[in-house]
Amino acid sequence: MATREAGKKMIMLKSPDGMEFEVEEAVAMESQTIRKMIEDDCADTAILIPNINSKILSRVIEYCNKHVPTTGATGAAASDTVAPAALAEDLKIWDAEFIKVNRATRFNLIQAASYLNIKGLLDLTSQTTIDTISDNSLEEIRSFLSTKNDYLPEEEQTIRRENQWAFQ
Amino acid sequence: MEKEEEEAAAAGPARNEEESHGTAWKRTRSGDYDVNAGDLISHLADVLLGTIISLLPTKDGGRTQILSRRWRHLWRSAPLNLEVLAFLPVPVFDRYAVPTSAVSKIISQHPGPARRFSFLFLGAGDLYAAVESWFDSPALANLQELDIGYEYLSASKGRYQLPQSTFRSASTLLVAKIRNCGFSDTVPQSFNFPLLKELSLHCVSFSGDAFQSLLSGCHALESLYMLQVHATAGCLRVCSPTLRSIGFRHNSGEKTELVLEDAPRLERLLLPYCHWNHCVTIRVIRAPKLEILGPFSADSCKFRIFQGMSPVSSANSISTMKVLALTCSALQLDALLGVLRWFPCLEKLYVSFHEYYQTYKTFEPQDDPLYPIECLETHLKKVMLTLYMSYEKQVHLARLFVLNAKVLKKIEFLVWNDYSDELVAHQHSLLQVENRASRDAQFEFRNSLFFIDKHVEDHIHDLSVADPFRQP
Repeated sequence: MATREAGKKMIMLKSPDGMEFEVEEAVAMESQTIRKMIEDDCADTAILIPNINSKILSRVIEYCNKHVPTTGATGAAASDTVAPAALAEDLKIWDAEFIKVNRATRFNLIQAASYLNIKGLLDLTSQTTIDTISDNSLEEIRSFLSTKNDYLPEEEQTIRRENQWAFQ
Repeated sequence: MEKEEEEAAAAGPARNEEESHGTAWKRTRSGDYDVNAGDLISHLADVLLGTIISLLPTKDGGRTQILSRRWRHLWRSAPLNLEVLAFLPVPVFDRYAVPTSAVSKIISQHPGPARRFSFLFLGAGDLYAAVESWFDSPALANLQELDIGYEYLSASKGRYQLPQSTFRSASTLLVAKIRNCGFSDTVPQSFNFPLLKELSLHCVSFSGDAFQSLLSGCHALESLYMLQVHATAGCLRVCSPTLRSIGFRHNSGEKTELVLEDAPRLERLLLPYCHWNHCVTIRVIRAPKLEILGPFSADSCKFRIFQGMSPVSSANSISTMKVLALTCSALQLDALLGVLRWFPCLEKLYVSFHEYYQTYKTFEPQDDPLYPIECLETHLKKVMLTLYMSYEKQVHLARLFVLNAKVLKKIEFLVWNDYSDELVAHQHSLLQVENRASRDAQFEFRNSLFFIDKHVEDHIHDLSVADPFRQP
């Protein structure tokens, strides 16, 4: 259902819970997965995005909208008035705000970024998890990841012994 | 053990994280977090968790095996990130890196491939053979990032060479940092780095043609940082069809020359900490896209830029240059104006004042109308003056931009205090803004300390930022 609006090619994205999102082709193509579908001409009708609910998909689209290069289909007006450097800095600030979400949303965003192959979003969403693992005690990490320690005490001892280098 | 981790955690930055994240997390720990979230991590594919693990510091990555059964095999299936502590006679503790004694255990446990390997030798002792064998291990196959060399103190003027096996993963390397060692052309090496994008050379010396043969083996190189790189010929010649950014720093006091012989895609030449006493000559032969330069000292007689055979001047100007950063002592503002004549199409200018004191020498601006500065007439849109203290000469310089830059959009003054409206009005009158040459020009006073050299050095390889001099 690719349509034209104000000279820009539009793409319809559909989430499994039935919501439809009409986005500019350039925005959708921030996702390498969708880009490939479009390039392979699989995008004539709405593209169904499996496993990504409308709430997450709308946030992903929000991200792509913000990150689509201004020199592209969004029109030259913006890039004339805003210096590219200023834009890059603004984007970092925007990203920091964007990622202030609860853990469930963040993990869903990691999955979505991975499936849709959006590198910037994947890096952004993974980084918080990396920081958490690297800065906290095991119990805090387990709590953050909602992971239970399901080892028997002796198993745990074995792992500690075999990987002494990691625990010293 | 746990206690230590707790303490480390308490000191860690996570506690100061953004509000929403912090509260969500606290809620979990007190037990009333949305239980539907369940074991969140079990929804993530192994490959995603693997990516996360391989980005963790070495010890943290290894520790994830003990989180739960789900995590046990993940460390082995994720690309290895191996950071080894420099071998020192006294054992030292490091929160992230592992000692050399742990390496053989780790590489026997991990099947490979590796994402990153980092190690500095103390000297060319027995470890040399050990490192050869590490590189032979499948655990270190397909490396993407390599940081290797000798410890700074042990390296004697780059006489040590790297083990033969160092570049076994050359075909997969994306990022490499090579430190405190030498490359000699007496043992001809043929380099082939088809994917390498970022290369840093710190205190590396090259004899004969070794530098050229290293560069010509880099087929995708975009960014090169040379810190204290020494060539026996006294001259580093850059020919690269792919390079977009070069960082160059040379503090040793010995004369050196960087020749941009053929760099068709080169956009930026960054010169962090290039102070007034550095005997550096830059010679541009062919760099048709060079548009970002600096910061260098406008009033140094030892730093020189040539275009072709002659020094850059108003008659031998570089018209591709758009963004320039200069450092300037309050002494010689006229030298700075002279430099502006070298770049007729300059759009943005950054000036960092290095001397805080007023000097007695009076400043005579060269605003001779018969000899206008071309970039002020047609191109200069933005000026940023850092460490602006409103000394007489600084005011003279700023006023010169106000009164002569015809298409100016903005001057930013980075100052040391918050300026009241009154103080800003006073500055405006000193600058004679009512007589400004460009009606659109704006003047902004910001309280900010900004050290451009440090900022530039930290962002040498960051091509995502369009202007490397801009304060974040």
